[in-house]
Amino acid sequence: MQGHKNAESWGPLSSLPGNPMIWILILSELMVFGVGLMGFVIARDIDPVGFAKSQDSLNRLAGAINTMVLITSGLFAALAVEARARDNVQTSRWWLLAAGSFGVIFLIIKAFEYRDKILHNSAGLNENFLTLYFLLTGFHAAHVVMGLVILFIVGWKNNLENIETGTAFWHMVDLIWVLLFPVIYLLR
Amino acid sequence: MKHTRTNRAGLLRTWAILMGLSLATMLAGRVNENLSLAPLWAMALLGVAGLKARLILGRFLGLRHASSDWNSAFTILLVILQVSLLAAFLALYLPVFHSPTP
Repeated sequence: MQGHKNAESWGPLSSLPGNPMIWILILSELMVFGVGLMGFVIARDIDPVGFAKSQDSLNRLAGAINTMVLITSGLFAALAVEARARDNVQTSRWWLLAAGSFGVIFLIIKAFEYRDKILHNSAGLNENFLTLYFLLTGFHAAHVVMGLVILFIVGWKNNLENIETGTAFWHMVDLIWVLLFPVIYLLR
Repeated sequence: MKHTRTNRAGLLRTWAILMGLSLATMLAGRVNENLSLAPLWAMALLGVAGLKARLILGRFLGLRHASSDWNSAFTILLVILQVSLLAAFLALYLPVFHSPTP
């Protein structure tokens, strides 16, 4: 009965899966990163030659591999929800661990990219490009780190609602990268 | 609060489609070459990215179980975002960017 009242109190949001607050976060993040990406493309319009040279210095293959790493991680997170919905707590924890491990792989690849850019490969590149590149991908990487913390917490406090909400955050991180990667690395 | 269930086969199918679309993104974006993309390839690139985002929302996040209004709202938001990005990218092809400075 209490659950029914809670569901009613969310109004139109109650038809969304998981905790409705996570959907407000997803909408906000889509808009924030959307504006950031618009800023990136408009900055490119101001200096297309400088941006093209800077984009060519990125490791596009590493970015593409990272896309596949995050998508696979998203599959593991979704399988954790599926296992928990069948009351299989231990299996859901293993899937969460697999999802988190792929998140760590994403961060390691990203760290190598940053290391290369900071130590060897930033001389002569467009400053606006570098600022926006580090701002957008760094902000996204911070979300990955936060996502790992959330996956750990929902693995520990393991119930269906927690896992649905925690993995929704993880899918949002995946979703943002899928939009971010082609614009920053490939659109030129 | 609404709980949804997606079966394992459906999730694996979605993952396979997303991986295929990621390969399409690499192809459209010429991941191994340093060259400018023609407008049509840019359109394909942003279109595929929007499609992938919509699949993640619908299948992994379970948006397809929500009301059709929410599904439409997120689709419209993604379309607005991708079309705006494409328009900003294609703005470079406008004559104003090629006119000589006085």
